[in-house]
Formats: sequence, structure tokens, C-alpha cells
Amino acid sequence: MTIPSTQGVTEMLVAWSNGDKSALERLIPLVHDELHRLAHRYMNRERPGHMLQTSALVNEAYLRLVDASHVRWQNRAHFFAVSAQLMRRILVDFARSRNYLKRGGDPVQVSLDEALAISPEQNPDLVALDEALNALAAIDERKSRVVELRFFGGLNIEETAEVLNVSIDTVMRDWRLAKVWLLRELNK
Amino acid sequence: MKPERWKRIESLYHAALEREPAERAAFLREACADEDALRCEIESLLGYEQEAGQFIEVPALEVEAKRMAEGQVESMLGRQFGSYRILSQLGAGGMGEVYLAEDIRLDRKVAIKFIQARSTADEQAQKRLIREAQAAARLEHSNICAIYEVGEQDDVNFIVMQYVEGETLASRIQRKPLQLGETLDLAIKIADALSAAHSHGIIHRDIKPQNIIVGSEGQLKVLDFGLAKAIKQGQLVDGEGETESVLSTPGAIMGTPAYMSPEQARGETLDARSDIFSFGSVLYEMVSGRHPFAEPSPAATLSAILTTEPAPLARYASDVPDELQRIVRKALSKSKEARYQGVKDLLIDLRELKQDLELRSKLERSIGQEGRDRATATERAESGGPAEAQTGPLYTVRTDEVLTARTTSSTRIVIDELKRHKLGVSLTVVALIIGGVAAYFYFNRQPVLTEKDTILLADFVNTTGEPVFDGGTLKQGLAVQLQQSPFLSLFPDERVRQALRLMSRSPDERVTREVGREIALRQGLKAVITGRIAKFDRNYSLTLEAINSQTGETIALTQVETEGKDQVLKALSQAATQLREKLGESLSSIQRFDRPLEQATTSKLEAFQAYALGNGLAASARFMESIPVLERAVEIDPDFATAYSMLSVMHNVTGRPRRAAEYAEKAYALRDRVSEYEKLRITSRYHGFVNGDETKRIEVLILQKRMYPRDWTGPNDLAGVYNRIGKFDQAIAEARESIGLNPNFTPAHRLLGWALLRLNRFTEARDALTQALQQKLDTTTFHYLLYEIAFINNDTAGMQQQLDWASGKPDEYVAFDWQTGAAAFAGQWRRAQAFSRRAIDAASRGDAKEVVARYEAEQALRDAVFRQFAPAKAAAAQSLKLERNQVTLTRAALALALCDESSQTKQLVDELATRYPKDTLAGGLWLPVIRAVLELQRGNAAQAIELLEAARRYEPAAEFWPQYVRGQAYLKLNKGAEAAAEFQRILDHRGEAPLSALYPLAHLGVARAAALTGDVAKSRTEYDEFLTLWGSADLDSSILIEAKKEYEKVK
Repeated sequence: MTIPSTQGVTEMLVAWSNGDKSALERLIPLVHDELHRLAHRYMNRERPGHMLQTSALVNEAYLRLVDASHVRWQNRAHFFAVSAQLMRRILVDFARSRNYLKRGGDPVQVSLDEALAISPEQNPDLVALDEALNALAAIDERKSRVVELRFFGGLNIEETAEVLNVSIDTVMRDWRLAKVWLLRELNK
Repeated sequence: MKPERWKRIESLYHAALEREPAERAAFLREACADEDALRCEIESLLGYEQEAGQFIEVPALEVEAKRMAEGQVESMLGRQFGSYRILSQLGAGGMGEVYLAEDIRLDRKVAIKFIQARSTADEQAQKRLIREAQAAARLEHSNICAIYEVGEQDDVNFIVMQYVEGETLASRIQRKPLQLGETLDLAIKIADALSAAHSHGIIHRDIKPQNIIVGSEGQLKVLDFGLAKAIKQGQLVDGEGETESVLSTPGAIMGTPAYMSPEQARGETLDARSDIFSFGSVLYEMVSGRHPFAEPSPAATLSAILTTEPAPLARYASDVPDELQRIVRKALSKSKEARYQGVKDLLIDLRELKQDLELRSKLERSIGQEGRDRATATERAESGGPAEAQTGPLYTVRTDEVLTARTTSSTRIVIDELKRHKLGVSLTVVALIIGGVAAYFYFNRQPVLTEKDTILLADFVNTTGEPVFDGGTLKQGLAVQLQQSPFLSLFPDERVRQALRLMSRSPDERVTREVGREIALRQGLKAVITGRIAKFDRNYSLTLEAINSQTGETIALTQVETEGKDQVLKALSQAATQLREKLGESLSSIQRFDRPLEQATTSKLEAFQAYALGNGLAASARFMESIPVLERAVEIDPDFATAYSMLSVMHNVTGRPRRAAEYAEKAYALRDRVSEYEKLRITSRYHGFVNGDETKRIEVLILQKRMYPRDWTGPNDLAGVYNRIGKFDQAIAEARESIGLNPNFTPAHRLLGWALLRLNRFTEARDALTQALQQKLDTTTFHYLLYEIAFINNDTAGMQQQLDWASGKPDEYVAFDWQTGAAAFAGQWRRAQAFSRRAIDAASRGDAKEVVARYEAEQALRDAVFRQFAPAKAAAAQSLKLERNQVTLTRAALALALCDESSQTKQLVDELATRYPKDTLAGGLWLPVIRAVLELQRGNAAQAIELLEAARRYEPAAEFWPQYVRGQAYLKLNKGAEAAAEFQRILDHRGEAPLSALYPLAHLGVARAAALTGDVAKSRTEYDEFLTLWGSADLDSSILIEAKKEYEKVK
């Protein structure tokens, strides 16, 4: 019986990092399920003060996908790095295929509920961001990894510092500069 | 870009940020000197600083999920399905979304629910859901939300429903308390809707305030009729699905099981009476504003639904008519036979009540008018002269409340509520579909075992050559894993040993596949499970096989391979799960009751090995021996919850309440790591050992018994609690139930013997104990009880036999304690002192500090009874120095009260009340007794008697103290007859404390009481009795000297 569990995902991640390409194929539907789960919650627009705030939901989803507490024999930092990389790949792919569908579909212009509207400045298109991040990597590899770990991997500052083996202060400075650099890049 | 240049950009950028915005330009001009390009680069980055605030601060997963949600809604809006055009979204859930749509043909608004299937299991459920919706579509009733159409387009199924504007009853109740008349009007409408549906054979099954929409003019619609039923139909075949899906999913998403009926909570087949119970809960909430079974967790709520009677409505709402209270109580009867049998009857009662109230209120209004007239007359009279005696206004009648059924508040259409409501339903529905469909498939697969079958575990074959896998470690592991399942029942180890004996084999013989089959055949067990562990290189292979004991055929086989020894427990747990599935347990049940072994217990093999050994010793009631073994287990794995929990029991039964509490608390803190089954046990022990809250403990144990009806530890533990609180009859029933489930479970025999003896059923007690001994079961308590029985029968040889048994045992000090009691009983204080000293010395040598402290406390109490106040105070102080737990605090406080040390006693009383506020026996027994003694010392005998009223409930557990103190108080008040009655109650219940020093003193008490009433003959007989019992008492005892003097007078 294979109920997809945290441990299952963890094992797949580890397998992928060890060169097992098929692990990626098996991971994609799991990430997709999490996305759907979250999307449904957003569609329901939970009332303010509801016990499950969205950030908690997202944390929960990340934890389900990448929970380092089950990784015993691998080092944690390596594990986080791998999972952030993978999340980036999968999410960008999703965004790309969705963009494609949207262009092909029949556009219906309707005003959306505010809760759903996302201002593009704050949340960029993942495909464009991915490209900008590649450009940043060419100049400053570490800063691009800070963004990858935090934005795609869902890590906090402390965990990011642990993975990169730098101080928290360094991560904060990298993050700040990377943000403005990327934002400028996207506005070019 | 060159790295050096980038470095400069970076450092200048951060340096600039450290300055005030206004100073940055100047700073950069200076820092970059003539490098304009560099300055421009940094300035352009700084330009984005403001805008970058929230940029990418939200994780990508969230961004993408929101886009996806946006895309989904977007793609629906404006689309047309049949004649329905989508206008906006109302809600969403796992099964699909609900939209507000426009019916172009009929020009009206409708709600349209899309059913999406994501898996084949979903598809099955979807079909059934649609069929049921079609059935429900035939329901036409003004209080039922109508289903217009069930349609399909582009492979999408949808249900078109009446669009109801209004708010949910849940939100209505929250917003403002409902008035009585309003409540009745709404309740009648709900009952009317239910009645119509039931007459069409449609049960709602999910009646709750979130499912009922109330309009601004008092209109009411019940939603989703038949939909819940459809989903759950698959579950009708499964005994357990519903409860599980509720418990296994976080309550926040699922909503609560709060409105379930008891039979629903138990997962039984439902009929219309289930809706009646749920409606009762809704009605209760409408009247009181609170839920009848509100508890913080879904599991606790379920427990309350099953066991707790809701508080009377009058507690929360004034002016609740008795009749309404009766209606609600009847609807909420736990037994469906005691409930309304049809919703029609309930409807009639509600209508009659409404009419009654209206009539009464009319009446009261007219009387009220009269009253007001009279009051006006009085005022007039007062202004004119001295007032007549007048009754003033007769009533302050809440006529408005009763009559005004409809509020005039114009309620806005609260769409949010509706959306929320829809989501709640759909999510529940999906979870239930998954559980239900799985159960359905598994049922149809013809399970190889059914719930009534018991299986036997054979010993593992270990070909790895590694001793850690010998000696039952894996078997115990498998047992732990399988025990989680309410579906499987394991043949207890103790019975295996006995079966081997019956087969003239050694009870310790290995149970091989063949031996296992033979036992199974003889005991009528359907299957044997064998296990094998082998090793190839670094890999371990685990095989589990279930064999039909009749035919020897394999009915299920699983194999799991794993790398490394540390992974073996995990592999075992996987294999066990697979086996459960193959044996026919429903998936929903497995999902709920399947905590992987390494979480349920420990991931450390050695820790588990120690636990397995300790657990075996505990089951044979070799408590003292199991403690060091279990302590080893938690030493290896300090997060081993189950081992802590077992340790708490071992310490409790060997007289160390503080250690028991510490371990119970540790286990409780780790309870989220363990299985549902273990969690229940840990919780009950926490209530019992940490808080002393026996009432709570009983509640949890009853739930445990319900969920695992074939587990013998539930009734055993319950018997233990009942013994502690003096409910010996109930203890006997529970102990017998436990023995019935596992005749070789030693602890239950000990509790049975205990309860029988306490009820003066001496012969039965002795027979029960002897029989257990003949079954080769043995434990210290057996011998303690047999010693007491021999003592009662003046059987010195029998007494000696038990003392001999104890010699050389790890807790041999108990024998000195028994002899202490016997000496004190005979009035030999000095001898008692000597034995007590020896008991204390012997216990001090072992690791039994808490036992020593208890002995010191009991000595203090004994000294005080013998009026040896100085040694009493010293012993009390010594006891408290060693330990301040429930036992020492209560005993020492009572001793000090008897020594008239009131201020010290009061401190201890305060400490007890503060530290153990929930302790059933401290609060319900010892504190009243101690306070009564203090009053008595002050000469307030009447107050003492009054205080002792509080101790009545648990009196049989009090070793005669309340009766004794009460008797003394009556003597002080010269109430001879009452005093004699109290002392006589001691004499009539000798079994409650056969070694108590108060027993002979009760004869003395009766003698004095009889003297007071002038019954010289009776008095003489009782003095005789006392002096006989004290025939070898210390001659200088002041009690004896006084008694003799008094005896001279009546002789």
C-alpha cells in the first residue's frame, strides 16, 4: 500500500538527488496535489480570524513535501538544497504550461474578487522570475541560491543560512540586494 | 560583470542603505567619485528598494496556488451549462465548487454545484451522489432546498439547486441569542422538513446549524438532503468508517462531529432516529447558545456524545419551559429506543408546546395588565394615605419574547456564510466518500477474516544469527502494530502458555508454525500468523504469513525488504499494515489506526526489546521486576512514550504515586507520537495518576472499551479505578469482563479478589484467588488478600503461608507491613512499631522511597490512633520530608489533625487542595475527613458531622475513617443511637479494611454508645468483644485502661 506520505516524498527527493531520474516524474503529481489543495482553500477565501491562516496552510504544504525531520542519514543542508531546486523546477514548469493554456484559451474578462487578485509587482510570473534568477546566478551564484531556497524552497532565514553555511546577517543582506536586482531585471 | 565591480556595488549599496534616504545621493557622489556608471547602477537599484517590500516574500507554492485558483474561477465565470450561466463563485470544496448562476430560461438565480472526480474511487461515489440527488430532487417542501436538475455537460456533472438567500442557522445563533418563540418556530420548520423527507425514505444524516439557512423573514430551508446519505451508503456495509474519517482528519477542515448521533459516532447503520438526535443537538444549541457536547477535540466530542448527559438547559437559559427541556432530553437520548421514534411525534410535541406558551402568555398578559392596574391603584392609595398590604406587580412577564416569533432585523444576504457552509459540506463529503468507497470495495472483496475472528501469533523464525531478533522482540512488535486495529483480536500470550500446558508441553516452548496451528485448532482460532527474518548482506527481509488453521493454507503473505538493522522495526510495521489489508480490514480503518511502529513505540531496537520484556512481566503482574527493564527502555530512547506510560502503571501499582505521575506526564507530553489505542491509555493514566481525576479517567476508559471492545486492559483498568473509589460491585463486573476476554491476565484476577474481599465475600474471594494461583498466575496482591482473609478467619497457619511466600521477593517488605497491621489490630502498639520499623528498613534498602514515605505516614496515623502524639508527629514529619504526594499528604494531615496540630494540618490541607485540585479521593474523601477531625478537636461535633457528608460517596474506600470520626462526633453530642449506627457500619464491613486498627475500636465505640442510650446489656457485650480482641494489647495503653474502667461500671 503506498499512501503518499512525507516519508515517501522525502525518499523520492533523496533518490532524485542520487541520480534517479524517475523520482522526479513521481514527485510532480504530489506537488500538483498540494497546489490543488491550496488552491481550493484560496477559492473558499477563509474568513478572517479563521484558525487556518493561509501562511499556515503554505507552511503545512511545504512540510508535507519537504520535511527534513525524516532525513536521518543525509545531511539536512543537502536535502534542503535539493528540494528547493526541485520545487523550483516543478513550479516553473507548472507556471509555463498554465501560461500556455491561458494564451490558447478563450479569454473572458471578468472582475475578480479582491482576495484572489494578486498584484504582479509583488508576485511575479514564475517563468520570468526563473529566467531573471538564472541571470543573477551568472553574476552572484550565492544570491540566486538564497532566492531559490527562500522563495521556491519555502525556507526561513535561519534554515537558508544553515544550508549555505553563512551567517544570518549575510543571508539578509543577500536577500535584500537580490530582491531589488531581480525586480529591476523583471522591469527591463 | 567583473566580480570586483559587483563586490563594490554590493558594499556601496548596503552602505547607502544605512544612511537616511536624503543623504544617500551625497554619499554616493562622494564614494563613487568620478565613476558615474557605478553611481548610476547603485542608484537604480536603490530606486527599487521601496517597491521590493513584499516582492517574493510569499513563497512560490502559494503564488502558484493562488494563480491556479484564480485561473479556475476565471475559467468558469461567464460559462454556460445548459440554460445556466455562471455568475460568481459561492464556495469551493474538495469535491467541486459551488457557483451562483443564472437560469436564462426561467430568469431566476440558482446555485450550481459541480462534482469533480479525481480518481476512480471518486467516480463511484460521484455516480451514487448523482443518483441520490435525483431521488432527493423529488422532495418538494417549503423548508427543503429544492434540487432542480442533475445535469452533465462536457463530462462535468452538476447539481442545480434552489438559491437560498439568508444566513446559516449557525451564524444566526452566534449573532444574537434566539428568543424562545423564534426558536420554536424555526424548530417546527426543521422538524417539518425532516418529517417530509423521512416519509420518502430519505435520511439527512448531517443535520447541523451550518446546513440550515434562515432568511430575514423567518423563512427556513434545510440544505443537502440525501446528499450526505448518498455518500455514506458505501459505509453502511462498513462498521466503522464515519467515526474514523472524522477523527483522522484535522478538525479545522472537517468541522466537528458535534452533531452526530451516538450510533453514528459508533459507525453503526443509521435510521431516521439518528436525524432526531442531531436535531436535538441543534435545538439544544438554539435554546442555550451552546452545543450540548462541546469539547475541545473531535475525539473528546465523540466521547461526550457517547457518554455524557448534557447539562440541563436551565443552566444556560432562564425561562426554559420544563416541557421543552423534556423534548430536548428525549431527542438526545443515547439509546435510540428511548428517543422519539418518529420525527412526527417530536413535531406534535413542539407544536403543542408552542400553542401552550402562546395561550399562557396571553393569559399572563391579561394578568399582567391587572397587576399594572393594581399597582397604579396602590400608587394612588400611597399618595392619598397609608398603603394597604398589596402584592405589587405580579409578574415580570417576558411576553414579547414569547410572542414575537419574527425578528424585524433585516438580515443581509450573507454570502460568505453560504460559501463557508458549502465548503464545509463538500469537504466532509469527500472525506466520507473516500472512506466509504474504500470500505465498500473491501467489503465486496470477501474479507478472509471477519471482525469476530481471533488470531494467534507464532514465534518469529530468525535466521540472521543476530540475538537481538530472538526472544520475542519482533513478535511483540508485530503485536503492538496489530493491536492498534479494532478489527483484529490477538490470542493473548498468557493463554498460549496455558494452551501449551494443556498440550503437555512446556509453557515456554517456542510456538512454531506447527505448534501454532495445533493451538489454533484446539482453541477454535481461525488463523495463525508466522513471521520470518532473514539477512542477505546488509539487507534484512521480513516475511509475514497468515495461515488458515483448519487447512494449513496461506491466506495472506507479505514480504518487506530493508537495509540496515535500524530499519527493521519500520519494515515490520509496513509488513503488518500490508497484512492487515490483505486480511480484509477496511482501508479507512487501517488509515486511522495505523501509527507506524517506530512512532507508536520507538525506532531503537534495543529499547523496544527492553520494552517487550517489561511488558511481558507486567502482564504477569511481576510489577517490581518490570520496572528496571522498562527504565532501561526509556534510557535508550528518552522519547519512548509507551514505555513511560507502562512505567507509570508499574509505579502506581507498587505504591509510588509521585513517580507514577511523573512518568504519566512524560508519556502524555509525547502522546502525539503514539497510536490511537496507546493515546487513549496514556490519556486515561494522565487523568488518573497526575490529576487523581478518577471521573475523567473512567470516561476515557469507557471510550477505550467502546473502541476496542475485545481489549482486556480496558475493563481491567476500569476495575482498578472502581476499586480505588470504593465501587466494588462495578469493579467485580469489569474485572470479570477482563478475565472473560483473557483468562490469564493476572492483574484482573487481583482486582476481582480485591473487590470481592472488600464486599465481605470472603469465600468467593479466596476461591477466586486460589483458582488464579492454580492457573499458575501469581502476584503479591494475591498473597496480601489471602493474608487478610486468613487473618479474618484467625487462621494463623494461612497467614504464615503468605508471609513465607513474600520472603525473598523484591518487595518482601510488604510482609512486615501486613504484620504491622495485625499487631495494631490487637492493640499491640509497640509490636506494630517494631514491624513498621522493619518494613521501613527493608523498603529503604530497595529503591522504594515513596513506599517508605507511605509507611511513615501510616505509622503516624497509627500512632495518633493510639494517642502516641509525639511519635506520630515525628513520623508525619519524616514522611513529608521524604515525599509530598497525595498519599503522604492526606495521611500525615489526618494524623496531625488527630494530634490537634491545627495550623500545620491546615497548611497540608491547603497544599493538597492547591496541588491536587482535581483529585477525586483527596477532595471527595480525605479533605472532608481531615476538616471534620479539626472541627471535632475544637468541640464542634455538629460541624464535623456536616463536613463528613461530603465524604459519603467514596466512603467504602476510606478504610473506616469517615464512619469512625462521625461515631466519635455523635458520642460527643451524646447521641448514642446515631453513634452506635456509625460504629456498627464499620463492624458490618470488615472486608473494607480487615487489618484496620479502627475495627476493634468500633466495638468500643458501640459499647460507649449503648451505655449512653442505657442499653447496658449491649454495652457489656461490646466491651467484652473489644477486650477480647485486645486480649494481648499493651497493658499500659491509655485506651485499654479507660475501657477497662468503663467496663467495670457496666459489669
